[in-house]
Amino acid sequence: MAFLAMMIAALAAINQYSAQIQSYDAAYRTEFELMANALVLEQLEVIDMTTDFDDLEDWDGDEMSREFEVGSDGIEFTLSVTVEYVDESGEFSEDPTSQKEVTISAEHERYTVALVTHSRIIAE
Amino acid sequence: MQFLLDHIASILVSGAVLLLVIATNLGAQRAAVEETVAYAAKVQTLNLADYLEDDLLLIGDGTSDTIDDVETNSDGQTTEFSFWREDDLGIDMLVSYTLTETDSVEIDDEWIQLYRLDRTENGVAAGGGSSTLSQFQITMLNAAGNPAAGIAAARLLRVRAVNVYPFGDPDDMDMFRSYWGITVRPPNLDS
Repeated sequence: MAFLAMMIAALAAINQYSAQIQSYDAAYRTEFELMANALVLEQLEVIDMTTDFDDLEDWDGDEMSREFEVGSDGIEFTLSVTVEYVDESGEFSEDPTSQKEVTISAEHERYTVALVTHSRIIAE
Repeated sequence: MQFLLDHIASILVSGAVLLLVIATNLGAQRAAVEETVAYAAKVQTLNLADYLEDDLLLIGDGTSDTIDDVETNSDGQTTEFSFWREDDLGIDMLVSYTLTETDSVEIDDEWIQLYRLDRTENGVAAGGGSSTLSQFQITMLNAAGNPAAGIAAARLLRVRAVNVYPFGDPDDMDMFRSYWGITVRPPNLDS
């Protein structure tokens, strides 16, 4: 009975600490997502402002490092850009159309999948 | 003798179980407090974010002037950011964000300076109010995303803020930092 009581108490403690770690991870991920979101949206604005419609393909396949800087702190993310033609419904098109969809994903080495992905359709 | 040993063993086991239960309970309480603090910090940061984003997009709305003044302190914090826009009656209005030092807290032998962000319209207090910021920066960027040489070259505004929530025992404080950033493109900075 004593052994059983200790086992139950130990399991309860392990469960509690697991939940606590998951909670920390979720809070951390939210922070990283917010930072990545800011960088992706900024890069979309820069591409939109600096690139002519005909030259948008130049960005396709580009990968770049961007740092979320606050004061002396900085966290680095990798941004990946893809550019594709889309039709009037926003669906991917093999043939050239008058619209291109620029998609940027942000990754961080801490996570195996992209934290955020944003797309913007730019018309000719 | 056997009876005595049994009693000692049972007291030791029950003591161990009791300690484990108490430790788990304290851990659960602490986790709940931290979750609440993190949630409160994030909500406050995002409320400020929503307000700022909507406000900055209206720079130069209905007015001939756009950004009026940007001042930065030695730590790189934006202490003053003011711009022109039209009010609801169609009259030019100067909106200013001012960062003021408030308190400083010591956490893990590190002193963190806290700031309050105030917002005024034509010098009259109107909004703002977050007093737990540890960082606040508004950077003017040119179209290529690099720091702009001046107001005339500014096309984008990069905003960075960190909201700090100290919590726990005053002698052994913990801190939750809530980060936020955005880059806005006020339409009237393009002209």
